[in-house]
Amino acid sequence: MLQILTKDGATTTNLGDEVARGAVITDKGEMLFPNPNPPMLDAGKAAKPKEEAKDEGPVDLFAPTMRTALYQAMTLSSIVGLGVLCPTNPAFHNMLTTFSLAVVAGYQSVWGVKPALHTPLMSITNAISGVTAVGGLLILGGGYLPHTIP
Amino acid sequence: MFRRPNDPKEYNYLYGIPGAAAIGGLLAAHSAGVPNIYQCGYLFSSLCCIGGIGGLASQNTARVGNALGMTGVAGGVVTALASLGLPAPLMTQALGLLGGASAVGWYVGSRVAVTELPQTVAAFHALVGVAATATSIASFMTEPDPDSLHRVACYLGSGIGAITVTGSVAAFLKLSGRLKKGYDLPFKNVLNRPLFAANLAGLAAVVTSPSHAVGLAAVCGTAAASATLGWNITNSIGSADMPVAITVLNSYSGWALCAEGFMLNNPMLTIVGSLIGSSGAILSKIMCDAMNRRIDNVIFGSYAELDGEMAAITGTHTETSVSEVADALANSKDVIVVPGYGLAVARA
Repeated sequence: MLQILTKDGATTTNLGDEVARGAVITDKGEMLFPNPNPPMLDAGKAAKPKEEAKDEGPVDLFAPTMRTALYQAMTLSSIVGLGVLCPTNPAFHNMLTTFSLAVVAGYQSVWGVKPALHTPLMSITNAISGVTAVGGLLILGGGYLPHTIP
Repeated sequence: MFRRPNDPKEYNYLYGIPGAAAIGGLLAAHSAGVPNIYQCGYLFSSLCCIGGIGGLASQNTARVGNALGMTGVAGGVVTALASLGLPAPLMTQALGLLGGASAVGWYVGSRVAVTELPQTVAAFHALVGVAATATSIASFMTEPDPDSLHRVACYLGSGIGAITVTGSVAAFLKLSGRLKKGYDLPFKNVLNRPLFAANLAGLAAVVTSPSHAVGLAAVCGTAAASATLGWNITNSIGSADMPVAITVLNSYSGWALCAEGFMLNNPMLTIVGSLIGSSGAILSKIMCDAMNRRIDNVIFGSYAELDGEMAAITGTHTETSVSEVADALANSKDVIVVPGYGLAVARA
């Protein structure tokens, strides 16, 4: 402090310095007390303007409810439509059931994953896509070396 | 990789017990000749894969999830091998392929740094895409009279697989910095719609035409058209949006796997494929929401070469120094440390 305010044993007033300027009350008979540029002690504490609750009047729920209902109607009837288009193959219906339930299970379990673990999620889905090897195995042909190329 | 010296000792090899028990039990039942045991093998493998993703719900269970995922894939492969009852030469071929590929995968995986994870994921997606396309075309070839379900599944598997291949290769090249210039296709801005229309036309052909040759041509044709489409779309995405492109390709590889499941009538492939598909789709949505953009804008909105006024840098930035940071830290009341890319680069 003294080093800032003195020079060669005599007091100086360097008004450009933040510390010296805050300590000065008068200089050469001039009242300088309220420092016009005080150091920023409470930066970031500026009060946020309060958000006023908006009064939007009574809400009309008809349109959004109708939209949800129409989406659901389309989804459900498209399942029936699939059944009409593929009537003969029972394997398809079994697989469709498996597929739909698996999508629901996958959707739910993925939303449960923490954001911090999204990179491991990428790796693990990459890893389990290795079961594509099963697809290859199921149609594997030939002997010690493949030779059943048509 | 992220282990701290004072972490408690872990006994993760114990998670091999459930895997060994399940796979050993399956093989025992197989050699005892229990009928239809293979469906149960596929079932436990699928459940393990679901559990693998479910385990990532918290850091405490993440390792269990990882082990479950490995058990799931191993169980699925063993079940497939057991169910086929292959003759010895063919079994040798299968085991040789599996062993060789696992060794290569292990070698590549053990050398990957954390910061290289995105492009590695992209490269492996490309392989899944290759597998899906090849399996779809081969399955169509070997089936003398495929029904409509088989035809559509082969067509979709081949098309989605091919998009995944070229898209992932483009993403890999961009992210790893090997593609400095970018290889734009001619007419790249008008190419997507005709290619998409060609894919739809091929689908109509494969469903309606009874001819095997026409079907095969359509299945191979969609592989070519989709490959072009995949390259064109991904090559047009800016490198900053590449993580989203990778999760979208992740999703594609999952749906291609689903198509394989329908094609080969294998429930495990369908279940795992839909897991991967929804995982990729959800991650893409989360990232797009975080960027405040729409997914179609990211995927189809090609970036323009900036020049002149658009390229001018506006705004201000603040630089800091070591002593200023030390000063700020010493004077602060609360400090929040946000680990990110820097932590991964520093291997902290």
